[in-house]
Amino acid sequence: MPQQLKEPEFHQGYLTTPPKSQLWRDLLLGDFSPSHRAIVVPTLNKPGHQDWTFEIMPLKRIRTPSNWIKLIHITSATSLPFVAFPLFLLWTKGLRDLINLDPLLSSLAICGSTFLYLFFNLRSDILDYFSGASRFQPAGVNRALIEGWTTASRMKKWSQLFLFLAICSGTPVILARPSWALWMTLACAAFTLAWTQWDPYLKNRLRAEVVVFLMFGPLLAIGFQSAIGGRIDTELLAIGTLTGFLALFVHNLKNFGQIMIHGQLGHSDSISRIGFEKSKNLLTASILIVLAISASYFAIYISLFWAVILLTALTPGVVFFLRVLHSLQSPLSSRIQVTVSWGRYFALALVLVHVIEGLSDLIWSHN
Amino acid sequence: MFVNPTHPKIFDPRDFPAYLPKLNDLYDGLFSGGKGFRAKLVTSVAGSLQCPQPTINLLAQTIEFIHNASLLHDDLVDRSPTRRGKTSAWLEYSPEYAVLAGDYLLARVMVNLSGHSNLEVVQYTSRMISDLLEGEWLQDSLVGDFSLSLAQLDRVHNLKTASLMKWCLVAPFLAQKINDNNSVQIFEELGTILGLLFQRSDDLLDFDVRNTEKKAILGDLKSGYLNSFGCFALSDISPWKRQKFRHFKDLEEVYSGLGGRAVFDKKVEEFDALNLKLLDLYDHYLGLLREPARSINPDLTKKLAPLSKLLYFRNT
Repeated sequence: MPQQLKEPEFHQGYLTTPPKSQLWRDLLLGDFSPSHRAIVVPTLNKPGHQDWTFEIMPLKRIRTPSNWIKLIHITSATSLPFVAFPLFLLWTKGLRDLINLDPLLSSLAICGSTFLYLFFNLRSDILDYFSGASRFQPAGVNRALIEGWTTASRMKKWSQLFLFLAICSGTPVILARPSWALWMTLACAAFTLAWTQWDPYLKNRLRAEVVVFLMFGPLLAIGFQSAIGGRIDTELLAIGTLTGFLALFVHNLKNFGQIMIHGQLGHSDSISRIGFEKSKNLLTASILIVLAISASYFAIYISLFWAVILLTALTPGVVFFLRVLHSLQSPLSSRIQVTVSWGRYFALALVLVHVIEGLSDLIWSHN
Repeated sequence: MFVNPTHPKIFDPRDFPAYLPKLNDLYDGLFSGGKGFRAKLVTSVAGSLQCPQPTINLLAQTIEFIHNASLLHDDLVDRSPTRRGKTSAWLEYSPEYAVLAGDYLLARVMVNLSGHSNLEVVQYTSRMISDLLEGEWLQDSLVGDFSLSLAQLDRVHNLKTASLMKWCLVAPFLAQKINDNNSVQIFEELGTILGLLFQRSDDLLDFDVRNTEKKAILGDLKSGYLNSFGCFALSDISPWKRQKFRHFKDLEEVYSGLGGRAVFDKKVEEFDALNLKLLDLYDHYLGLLREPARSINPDLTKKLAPLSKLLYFRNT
């Protein structure tokens, strides 16, 4: 049962408690009081196993944004385009290949994958929150939790809902395509184990990048293609490679934005290992690789016209990104976040070009 | 160990060989005029923990050596012409001597500490010096960046300024070999808060707020560095307008850039309100140390209690 704190204990404003205690758990989950939230007090000193301090704030003092903004932060919806993108590419490929796409099955497969991604994302955020990452690295943890806009308990319920929806969506697909079931189960189990059970967490290590590339790239491509009854061909592998590298670029970009903190915490991802100066070269190579793969994909499998459109639309943005990136002089520079934002805009713009191409192809072939 | 009872600085004449030219003159000029706050803080903490007098002297000497070494290097990096009302060492002697003088102080710290045979104190001191230099390096990398946030700058100040405060509170525990990790971690948080408050107060002096010390104003701004109050005051100003502040030469231009003197004063009030929260947090951590289970000398918490307000409001 959550421990209900008495009113005088709020008066002080701050509460300190050892980790893993019942009070600590209740404060983090947010169930201790209907009228107050416990905000984790950040520290500038590397957190070890010391006690946690919380600021107990009345709900009316917490400034919350609109429900839509809150929902976007809770679900990290801004990263959904990067999940939907590979699925969209594969779906349009299936239509182009004239395979007998069952619209219901393919829609359920898309929904199931999306809900599963939302489930993993929320779970990962809750784990980060409980691990204490928010104490030293508030910017790296879900803002809705840090600011007290919602509670971890509610986010857990959201994640359970998404898991339920994923199972509901995925079950008919599994029943229709039993071979896909085994593959999806193994992939999900491996992903969950890898992301949550390691200590330190996998996501802070080099292996996370391999997982990101595979899960958002070739494995997703092959798995989804199996689900909709399509064939495995070179175009499929090209799509998997493109989406894998794009996901990796966004992942490394995020790590670059936190390079100093990750370095102080002893993370061993690529960016932390190679350091500030060499990371700029890695991100340069990454963005150029993604652009090159995307342009090549258009040129080989779609048309040269769309390759030219892509390069014309995105090259100025890439040039700007590279200029800002290489002008950075400090891991604490105010322009780090500008760089990260521009990198994300590039990724979204690339997704947009592919979506426009796919939709125009659909409309054209329908007419 | 020699202690000059008429001089606020504590140093041992054996540390400064007379045969090295200009060395003693340089240090005499440097050590005189300072307040010796850090030495007094560590002396106070060590005294409450009943450290033997030679240990107290060593700790006081160590922190003053490290602090003054950082000042020698700082003044050269920032090209500051004066220090404590006198010509800076790098100008008075040469940049080379200023660098070597700073290095020499750090080397003497290691010699004297290692003679004390407490490895934990040596390790903690080494880490503190490393943090201090990391903070200096990062601060230098931020010169010219007028879009910094306070949160980013706090990370630098925690390394640069707060690391010395933390050391003053924690080193006596290590010197006495007191095995109380939880209390040590609370002292680290207290040290961080003291460091941030001291730095923020110093940064306000740069804008002539509560400047009873008559410190030169706008020194940071003129060096192309946006300090903590600058970051806070400019946080809701557009990036291109912020760049104009780099060229401001006096306070009137700063007031005008912010929208008038009234706006400036409001910003100071808001900054003070932000730091009052830090003062509350400081009191909370001090309250934890008063818990009977921790067995911390109540005399120590009594001495530490007024420090936060003293450092921030500078007795005004």
